[in-house]
Amino acid sequence: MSKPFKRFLVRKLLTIHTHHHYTKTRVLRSVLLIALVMIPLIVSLFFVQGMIDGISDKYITLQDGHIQIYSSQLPDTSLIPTVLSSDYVLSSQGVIYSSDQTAEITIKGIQSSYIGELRAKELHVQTPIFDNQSSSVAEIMLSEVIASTLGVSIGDRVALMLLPEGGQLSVRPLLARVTDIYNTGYYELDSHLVFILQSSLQRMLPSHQQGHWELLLTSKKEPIIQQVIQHLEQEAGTSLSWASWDQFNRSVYENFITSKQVIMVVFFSILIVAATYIASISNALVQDTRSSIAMYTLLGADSKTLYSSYMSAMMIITSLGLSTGIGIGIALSYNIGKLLHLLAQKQIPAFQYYLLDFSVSFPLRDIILITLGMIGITACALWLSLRKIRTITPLELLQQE
Amino acid sequence: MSNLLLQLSHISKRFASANQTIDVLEDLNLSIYEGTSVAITGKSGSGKSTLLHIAGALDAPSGGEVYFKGILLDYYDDQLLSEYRNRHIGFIFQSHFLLDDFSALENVFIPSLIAKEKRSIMVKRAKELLDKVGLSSRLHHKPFQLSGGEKQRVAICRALMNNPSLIIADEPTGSLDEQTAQEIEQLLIQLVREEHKTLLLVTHEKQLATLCDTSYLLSNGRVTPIDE
Repeated sequence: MSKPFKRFLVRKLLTIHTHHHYTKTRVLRSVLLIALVMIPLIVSLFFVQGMIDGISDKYITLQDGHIQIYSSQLPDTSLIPTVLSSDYVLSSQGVIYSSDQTAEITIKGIQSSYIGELRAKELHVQTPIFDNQSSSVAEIMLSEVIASTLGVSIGDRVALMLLPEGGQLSVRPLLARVTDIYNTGYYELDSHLVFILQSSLQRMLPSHQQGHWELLLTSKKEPIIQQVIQHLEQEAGTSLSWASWDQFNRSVYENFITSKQVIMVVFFSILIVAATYIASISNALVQDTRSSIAMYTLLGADSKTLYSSYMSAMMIITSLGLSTGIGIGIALSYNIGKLLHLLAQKQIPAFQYYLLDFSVSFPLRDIILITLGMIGITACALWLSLRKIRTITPLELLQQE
Repeated sequence: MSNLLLQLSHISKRFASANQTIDVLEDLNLSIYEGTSVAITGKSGSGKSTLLHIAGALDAPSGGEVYFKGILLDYYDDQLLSEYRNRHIGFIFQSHFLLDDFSALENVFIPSLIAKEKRSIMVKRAKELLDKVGLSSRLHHKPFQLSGGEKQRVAICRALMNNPSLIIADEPTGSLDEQTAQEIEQLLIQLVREEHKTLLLVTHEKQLATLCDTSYLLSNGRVTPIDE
């Protein structure tokens, strides 16, 4: 194979100068098309990954923790660097009443230290939440969704009633004052989660009802979780009953994984269409330069060099389109947060079940997968379409004389 | 006597279609010696171009053997035949077949580029050749910026670029006006002699044939020498 000739030919193919406007702009159009396919794919990947991470983090931070340990006592966690916080919480199902509305809720009994900086950020509230712990009236924090359903605001009073479990609960309403209203931005969570001081909730629960420990860690990765559990079991000298964030809401996280897999399948289908277009562009390129190919062959170029030159030129076009698309896609994704934040504030009904206000996370693995997929699919499509180069002979050119 | 360069031995070429079979060449024998110029004349459709295609390894004969410097070309695979064309043969056709997107200089040095020649050497040689044919001021012109005669001169330079042993020319002046044709004919013969090349030429032009050392008439699939 003649490498100098290959380099020369690739350069010529990429900078073809003809009088035909269509041919002249072919490279540019191809790069643009690939970029236009890649931009929405990359933005969607960022959106999906960001939303999944955002929802997971909301569930972890506000509802489940990274680890739940079902025990009244917990060994000291302050020496474990990967543990950010450990909080004892009580929870129960209940109904909340305003003067004319009701809502079914999950009541979470917490200590005032529970809402630290991290949780306050997810709730979009300022600490301290519970301002008057000595008051005889229980203090309660609702979401904007529940407050809106009940038609109440900060300072209003509501009544709480826990749902009896196994007939062991005395049904007794509790009067509470709304001290704060939070908004996580995620409807599924906001529609049922209510915070109350643990001491107030304890009054309504039977004395034997135990709570659990919620641990927040520096990472949700499996090895970190295992490491913390091992450490705690070692300290406790016994095995602990526990569940990790993904076990606790298995169906939710499995849905995330399935959704992402489906999205990846759709992405790959789009990539196949794009690769087919690239193959048709390469077909047109071969057709337009058919007599040149015959001439190169006549002058002694072997079909392998010609095939490889055309393949390289098309792969350069593909790579240019890919990198342009990925670059613009990433740039847009890092700015899409502002747009989503605005959408979240508008509270458009069609978007209410989506988490729109999340931080962008870089889906590196998926981007690599899509890029390699695009390169692989394009290479296969080109391999099929460029095979015809091998059938072009010098005689074809001479017969035109 | 100089060395035998190309030998066509008992060559036959048959074209078969659905309805009929045409024997274009039948038991054709031709020997071409190094440094000589050979003209093949004959009526249209007599198989002149087919003969050149076989000699230039562009087409395979239906029967017989082609030897180049004593080596049977049958033993060559596609890769070797490409190398054979690139290193040992220079082609000139009635149409110039220049590459539209390439300058005159680029068109000339393409065979050397394929042969992996060093860039500085090949550019120097291409410029020298273009200078010899009076196109030193047209190096960077594209084919559409050149006249018919100039294009054919570029094609001649391209044929000579890799210092091939054999120049195969098929009606090289067929598409030119009379005056330009004469200029190109003179130039071709002059360059072939200067560069000590062997020329196998197909032409209708009796005048061009007479400029060659030997002339043959191709008729009924065979070649017969033409006496001066």
